[in-house]
Formats: sequence, structure tokens, C-alpha cells
Amino acid sequence: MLELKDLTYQVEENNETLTIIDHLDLTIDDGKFIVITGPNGGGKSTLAKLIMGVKELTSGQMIFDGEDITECSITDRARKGISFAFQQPVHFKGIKVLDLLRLATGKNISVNTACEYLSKVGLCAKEYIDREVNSSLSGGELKRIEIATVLARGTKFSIFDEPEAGIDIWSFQNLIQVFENIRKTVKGTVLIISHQERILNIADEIIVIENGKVKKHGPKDEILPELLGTADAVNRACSKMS
Amino acid sequence: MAQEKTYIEDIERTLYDIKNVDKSKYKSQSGLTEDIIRDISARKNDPEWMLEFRLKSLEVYNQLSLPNWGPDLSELNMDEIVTYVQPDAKMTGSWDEVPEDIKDTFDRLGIPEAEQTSLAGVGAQYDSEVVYHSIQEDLVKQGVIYTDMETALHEHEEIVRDHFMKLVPPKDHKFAALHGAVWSGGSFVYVPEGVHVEIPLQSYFRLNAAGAGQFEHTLIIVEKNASLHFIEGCSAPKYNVTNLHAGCVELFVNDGARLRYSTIENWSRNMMNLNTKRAVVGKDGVIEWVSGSFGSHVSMLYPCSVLKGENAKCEFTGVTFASKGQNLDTGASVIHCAPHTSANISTRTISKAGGKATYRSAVKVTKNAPYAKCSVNCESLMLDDISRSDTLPTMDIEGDEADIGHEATIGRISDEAIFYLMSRGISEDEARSMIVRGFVEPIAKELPLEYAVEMNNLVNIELEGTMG
Repeated sequence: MLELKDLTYQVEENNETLTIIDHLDLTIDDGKFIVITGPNGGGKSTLAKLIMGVKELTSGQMIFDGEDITECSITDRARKGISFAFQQPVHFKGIKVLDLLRLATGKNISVNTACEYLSKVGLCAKEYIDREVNSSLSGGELKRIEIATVLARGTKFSIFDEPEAGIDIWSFQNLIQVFENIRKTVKGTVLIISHQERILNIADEIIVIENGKVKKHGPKDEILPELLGTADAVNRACSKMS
Repeated sequence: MAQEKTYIEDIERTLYDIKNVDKSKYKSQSGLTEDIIRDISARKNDPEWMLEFRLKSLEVYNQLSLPNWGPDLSELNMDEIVTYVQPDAKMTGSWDEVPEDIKDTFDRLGIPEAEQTSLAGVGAQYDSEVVYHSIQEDLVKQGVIYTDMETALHEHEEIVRDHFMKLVPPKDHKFAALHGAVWSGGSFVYVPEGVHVEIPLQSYFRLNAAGAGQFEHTLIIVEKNASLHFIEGCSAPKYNVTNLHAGCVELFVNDGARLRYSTIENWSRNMMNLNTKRAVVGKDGVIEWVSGSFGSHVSMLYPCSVLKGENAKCEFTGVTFASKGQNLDTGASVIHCAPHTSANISTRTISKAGGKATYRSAVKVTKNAPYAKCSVNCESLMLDDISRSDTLPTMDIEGDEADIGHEATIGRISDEAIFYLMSRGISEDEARSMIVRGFVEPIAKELPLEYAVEMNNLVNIELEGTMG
């Protein structure tokens, strides 16, 4: 279980203090498939990065499985079982897809095992395993490779920050299938930051973050209709204006 | 789960810093005078022409100024440098005959061991003289000559006379002139036409005496359609006075021949390394330079390839690692003198802890070299905010239809890359070292790892535990 208590994250910009996360409280139970959504600039991605430790809290406390991880480094959090899928895997010269997967597992896994992870994200493994991680791979391919590395880690708590960002519609269709598979097979907690209805649709719970606070948090069946209703209302209003 | 643990730290120098008591048989006076030159020449039993050559070089030295570009050389005071230090040892072909302290030094550096396992011949120089030289018998039977320069000067005088400082004339620059005046030691290699030396030869230059200079001369001639891999290593213990290295390397790669010249330079941090290396390459010939510059206080080193014959090729691969107190000015130059010549220069420089690394290159395509191709790629990585990295390429293209490319990047390790690796359970230090290793990997794989024992200490990769 992850408990976020009174989290605040502020940044200084042009001599002004901006509050991105504002005294946020949230509890995420084990084994849930959770989607965080909300308007742009509401603090969703920041929250994901705070959980991983990529950004440092201004104040507040984080408890993971009963242990205070507030002061833990990214490395320590990773070792305690939190994973984070970046928008793209890191590029450095010479690193191959297989290396990324070995890095993720911390083991010298066999090519066959690595291929299994790639298959889970819909990549024809043999074609990719020896490829260098660079711009010869498309955005969609890179994203799926990154997701495969998080699956390979097999941790208790996996975070995916807007996995749909920056990919074309064709890759998006594949991506949705990947998350539908993850939904069925992964046992740990999965936390996805997303705006996509199809991803929201497979959630156990939906959390809406707005102005740095939790605006709504509840089962999908309860939250999703509200969100869609809002969207419908906006659409209707827009169509009247035109 | 076992974790891989890696660090990249400063170069571990303990191994190199072990000093022997100075038991030299003879030392010239410090400074540079005609009397000193005559004395060195007499002690070396030079032929008359070589004495004249030395004296002319001294004249040139006195006429030339220090370079008005590059690192500051004002710390170098030639009046304090001892140019000739004769060790108390004769050149031999048996390690048993090498004095104990000198033999122990080369043992620590792993040279006799490498000779047993992976080299076809070894030369070992201690201060100003070569103390050991060997070559496998089957190469001798094929006509390969590998010996010290002094022996070559007497036993193969005509070849030496025809080639010695013809590629790097004393007038080239002040330190070439200095070299011409006081050179001592070094290796001579001759590979006859069509002979392929399959296993590398290695010469190792060790400077033990404080305040001394080392001025070895390496002359390699690879005849038509022959091939050779030559490895050069060098190191010295650290003193609090300035030492000077002004060696000279001349490589003659004839038509259809191939030479790979690998250097792992790890001089101590009180060394001024002002070295000159040049190769001339005939038709269809190939010169491959692999150069690792890790040591010295100041380095100026720009191996030059003169592509003289049609379709001649040059491959230059270099890595430079400048840390605290180091100003390493390295690079490469290529002169295209014939049609369809091609060159590929690829370098990596790393600077940390206030070190300064400069990559300097010069590409010249003459009118006689249509369809020349040259690709330069230099990448620099600064590991902190107090280090410096510069890239200074020059290109002078006169030939028609030239295809020239230059690509340079200077960067720092991105936070995102560090965070990424940390999110995989790797510590911050380990993450940095992995990125540096990845950065030098394309170069490191070209270095003769299996032969140069000190490579492990150069980019100090300390592995504890195993993966999986």
C-alpha cells in the first residue's frame, strides 16, 4: 500500500512560488489498476515523479508498505519495488534493447526470456533484441520497449506516465492492447497517468487530480460516467457555439 | 540478487608510481648544449652523420620558438631537464639478464607475462636506453626485424639513414628539433614485402629518473602488401619536478600494406608529453591509429597521416581522459595527397575534476587529391561543472569532388539518464560510470585490451560481484 500524506511540491519561477502539488492526501491499495487523469497542468505527472523520487517533495510524507520512503533516493525506491516507465528509454551509445531489459531485471537474463517481455508488448522480439536503442526506432516502438522493461522488473508498484503521449494512432491501438494485457496479467499495483478513455475504461479506480489536489477518487464505474458526462457537456456546448 | 557494481574514478596510479632508486650508470648534465649533444653521441657510438644530424637539430632548436598556440608550456625549463640517463644495464634478449629492480618494474607492468601470452615480440626501454628486446624466431626467419634503434643504426644503417626524421624533419617544430638533437632508444621494425605479422609487437617506455627527458625514436617500415600491429605503452612514477617526453614516431606504410599502431599513454601527472607521430601511406595502404591518452600534466599529441598513394586509407580512433591538473590537447591530422584517399577520425574526450581536454584536428585535401573522403566525429563529455572541453577542427580543401564531414558534440551527463538508471535500482555513482563506459565503448573496444595490462587501470572499472 502507498500512502501519500499532505504532499506539497513547489517550484520557484520568476521570483514567484508556484504550488504544483498542494497538501495532497491519497492512499493506493495493493494490486489495483489505477488511472490518474485530470486537466493539463493539474500536477499528475509531477505526482508520478514525486512517487518515484525523480522530483523532491517540498513537504509531506510517503509511506510504502508501512515504511517511510520520503527521504529515499530513486535507487532505494526502485530496490523497494517501485518502477517508473519514462516517456522513452534512455539513449546511450551502444546500448541495445537486450541490455535495457537486462538492466531492468538486474540479471543476465537469457535472450529467450528477454524476447518474452518484448512479445508481451506486441513486438516481434527477434527483430528488436539486438537493435541499438536510438532514433532508428519509432516513438511507438521506443514506448513499447520502455513498457517491456518495466514489466521485466516485475515490481510491486509500477508507474506509467502518459504512455500514449507522442505516438501515432496506429501505435496507440497497439498500446491499448498492451495495457489490456497488463491489466489481465500483472499482479502488482499499476498506476497510469492518462487522458485516454480506453485506458480509463480498464481501470479499477480512477483518480482525478486538479490544481494539485485529489478532486475525485473512486471506482471506475463511479468516476468514469462523471468524467464522460463532463466531456459530453463540453462537446455539446462546443457544438452549439459552432 | 547479486548486483553489478561499477565505479569510474580517477586513474589508479599506484602501480605506476612505484619508484626505483636511481641507479643510473651515467646522466648527462641538465640543460641543452653542444657539449652535451657531443657527449651523448659519443657514448652512443653514433656514426659521424648522426652526430652532424644531432648538431644541426640543436641549431634548429635554438632558432625555433615555442608554439604560440595550445597549452601553456612555460613550466618547462630545458635548463633543468636531464636529456640522457643511461641505466646500469645492457640491452639483452633475456629477462634473467635484466637487473632485478628494472625487471621487477616491467613485471609489475605485466610486460613479460604479456610477452608469453599474446605478443610476438617485446621491447622495453628504461630511461634513455632499451634494456630488453625479443622477437619470435619464425618472424626472424621471414625477414622481420624488430630491435632497438641503436642496434638498427649500426646493423641497418642505410635503411635508418634513408628514413630517420624524413617524415618528421627537425624543422617541423621546436620539439621535433629537440628530439633530433637528443634522441635515444626506441624501436625499429622492418616487415618485408608480403609478410603478415599476425601477433602484435609491443614496445614499452618507462621513465624512472626524476627531472629527466625521454626521447625515444620509433621507426617502422611495412613493405608492400605486408601487415603489422604495433603497440606502444608508456608510464612513469610521479615526481614533483617536471619530466619531459618528446618522442618521435615515423611510420612508412607502403603500397597495399596495413599497419595498426596502438598507444596507451599513461604518463605521470608531472610529465610534459610533447610527442610527434606521423605516417605516410602508399597506394591502397592502410594506417590505423588507436590512441589512448590518459596521463601527463600537459599533452600535445596529434598523429598525422599523409595519404600519399591513390586509395590510401586512415582510421583514427582516440580517447582522452583529462582529470585534475591535466591539460590534454590531442587530436589528429590527415593530409590527402592522392585521388580517392579516405580517412575516418573518431574520438572521445572526457574531462573531470577541473581537467581540460581539447580535441584539435586538421584535414587538408590537396589539389592532387580529387574524390577524397574524410569523416571526423569527435564527442566530448564533461563530468562536472569545473572541467573544460574544447573542439577545434580545421579543414583546408583544395581537391575537387571532396566528401568531407565533421560532427562534434560536447555534452554533460543528463540528469534524466542518471534518473533512468537509478529507477532500475542502480546507484547514482554506478549510473554515472555506466554512462561513461557507454560513451567510450566504441573506442575502448578498439584498444588492445588483452595486451595492455594497464588498460584496466585507465578507466578504472572496478567490478564487484557478478550479474545474475
